[in-house]
Amino acid sequence: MDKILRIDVGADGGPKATTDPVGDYAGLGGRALTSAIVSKEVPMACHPLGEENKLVIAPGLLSGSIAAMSGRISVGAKSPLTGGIKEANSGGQPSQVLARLGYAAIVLQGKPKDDSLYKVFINKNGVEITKDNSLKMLGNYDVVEKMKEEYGQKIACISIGQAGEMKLAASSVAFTDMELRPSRHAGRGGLGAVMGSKGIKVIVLDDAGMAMRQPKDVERFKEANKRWIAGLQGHGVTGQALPAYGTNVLTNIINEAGAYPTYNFKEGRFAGAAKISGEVLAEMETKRGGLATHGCHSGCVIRCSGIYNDKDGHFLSKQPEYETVWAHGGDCGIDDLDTIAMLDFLDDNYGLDTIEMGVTIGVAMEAGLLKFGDGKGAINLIKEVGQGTPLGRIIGSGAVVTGKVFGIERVPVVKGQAMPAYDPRAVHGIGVTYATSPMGADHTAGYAIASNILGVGEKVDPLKPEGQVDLSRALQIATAFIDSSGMCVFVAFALLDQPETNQALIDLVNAFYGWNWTADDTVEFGKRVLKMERDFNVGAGFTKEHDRLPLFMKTQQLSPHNLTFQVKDEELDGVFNW
Amino acid sequence: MANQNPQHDIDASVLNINLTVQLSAVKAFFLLLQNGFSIKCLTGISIEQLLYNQLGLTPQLVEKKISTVFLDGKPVDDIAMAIVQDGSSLALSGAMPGLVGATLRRKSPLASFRQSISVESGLGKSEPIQGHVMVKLFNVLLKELGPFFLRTGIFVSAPAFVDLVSGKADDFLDKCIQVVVNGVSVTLQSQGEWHSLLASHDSVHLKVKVG
Ligand code: SF4
Repeated sequence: MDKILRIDVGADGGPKATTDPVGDYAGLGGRALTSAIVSKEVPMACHPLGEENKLVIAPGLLSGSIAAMSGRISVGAKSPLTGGIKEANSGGQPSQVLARLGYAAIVLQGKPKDDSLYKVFINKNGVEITKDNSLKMLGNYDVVEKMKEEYGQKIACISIGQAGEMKLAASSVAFTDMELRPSRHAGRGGLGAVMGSKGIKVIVLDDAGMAMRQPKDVERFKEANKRWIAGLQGHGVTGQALPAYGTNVLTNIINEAGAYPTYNFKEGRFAGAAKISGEVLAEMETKRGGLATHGCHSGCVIRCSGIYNDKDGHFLSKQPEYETVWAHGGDCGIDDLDTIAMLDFLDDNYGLDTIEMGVTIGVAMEAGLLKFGDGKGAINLIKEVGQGTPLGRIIGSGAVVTGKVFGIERVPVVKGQAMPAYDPRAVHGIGVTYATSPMGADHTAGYAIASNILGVGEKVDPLKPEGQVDLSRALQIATAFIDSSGMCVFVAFALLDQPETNQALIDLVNAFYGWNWTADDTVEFGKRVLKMERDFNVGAGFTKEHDRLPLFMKTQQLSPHNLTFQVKDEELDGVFNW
Repeated sequence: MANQNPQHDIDASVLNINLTVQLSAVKAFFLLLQNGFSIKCLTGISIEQLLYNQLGLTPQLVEKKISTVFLDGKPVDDIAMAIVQDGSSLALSGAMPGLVGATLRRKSPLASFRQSISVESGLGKSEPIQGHVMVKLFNVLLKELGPFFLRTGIFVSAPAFVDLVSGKADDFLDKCIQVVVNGVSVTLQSQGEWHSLLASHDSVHLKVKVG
């Protein structure tokens, strides 16, 4: 990973590829690299769909190596949804393959001369860019089928569906999984629209003839990897709950806590929650011949994913994640897993963020466009997005636009991005992170924390209410480091409880790069990433008023606890005082 | 669950059903166990006393597996200090993923995140009395504790039991080896027969064993 591939889509005669050494960006990967390139090279005030914006795709620091869980990939740009900097990350195979091909990043830049669509093929011999208008308005699944016919089965693809081509603000970038299905998405922030604005429909990667990336200190690396895997497999969450039930195992307990946003954030509990829980989902998958435990990329040892078959045993979608089941389920009053899986497939195929789509349909339901619980109506709405009807384009532009068009006050967003599946009125601490993350309302922004970060990087008393601001800061710092490492964010639970597993991760990075980092250094690294991102947003016009939850969270109580969000604005303003 | 009082069964609105089922039918009860069932037990005591003394669970299981506990929808940090009242709802879960999943755990280092909904320890302590507690089992605890509760007996509403029989259709009925209703062995072959049996009752005291 010592080179960066740049594709100037506006070059004379069509898109042109050049390869540069990583230079100043050496030692960065994943989110750290996408945010570094965006904050250094993209004018903060630019239009997200204009010539000056750049789409950066970067494997994590450890991707392409034998380190378990290291196959996450980051996509960054100025976001068409939030207007600020964005990093969205995804699983799937492309991170491993791109890293083995030696690229630290792919950067799409410039403005196409016309509306032609291009495909990019990258293998050990170099880069080939071809005009292919036959791909126009194809869904991700059809695009990948065509690529398989053309380039064979041993490829990995990064693509956009119809939504990205239409430059809709809720569009995603798709990544293929181990079965070559475009089922993994960098979903948040509308980055598919940026790829669409560059006229690139698909990037096909083939690492035949390339070796696994080798660490500087092979023995130390192998030994750390063993400790790393043992730590993950020995932990109750990463070794049991996630493999058995997937992330949707959260439905029952978030509902029990009264923090499960229901009927467009009107209530905190959903009567149909048990019917769409991870427990029921896993049983149904197994019964129908799908899979309840499955990895999204090679090297994943947690395997939180699965395969969801329809009643007749045919593939319908990958196992919908908790966020998807909630967004299309409880938030819209839908308690039928087949409907939710169909919506998940349609989102993946059209290339849409499932959270943004579910929340947007919830807003449309509140507006009376369809009734809460109307599964068929929800499917038809998503189909309208894929077809690009005027209504579909409104929905595909996300919750804010839809709320404005239909005159709805309760629109659950921060910085223009829909809130995920945890209501901050019940769990105030998550509201601190939603409000202050440079990414907009983002549940993964505060996923990870290690006990030694609590001890080393931050002085926090977790049992004091005011601790939540300090905790949110520590979480965001730790997550920025994990997002840069290429590790799946779900490793966080083992890091939280097992300092030795956290140490194993630091040892992996050290052995790979020949560094001598301590936990303190990972804190500094995370801070650097957050600072770049915050600075970009300031330049893009964000003020502290953007670090706020929507007003209804302060005025409308959430049942069953009947609480409003009570963290004061001044406290929110202190999150980034370090 | 030694202290669960069978005298409750005398209530005419409660139908006693003892099922002997094939092992593969046990999973069919999991949705019911997630939605919640009642047990009769001593109340006005701590969750810890309920789990250890009333239910006879081992410290190994409680400490290792029951990582997330809700009392009346509020996350609990200290099970020795949170008091179960007559009519309380107690939900038991393993350790959960996600920031919020981690936040909701007992004694979570992230406990301040959900401080506004946490159980205040020791509130409502009173004289122990016999009462009912609604129990919900989630995720890894379905397999771990589900068969135990089914064996020792649970109370569920008649409509919830109708849902169970209706939802699982005939293959569930096929897996019932023996059905004993109010002490009498009966043969119920269709969902309709179940429905008419349950129609005049409010709730069911259900015991399930694997045959
Ligand atoms: S834990 Fe889940 S999301 Fe993470 S890499 Fe594995 S399958 Fe993908």
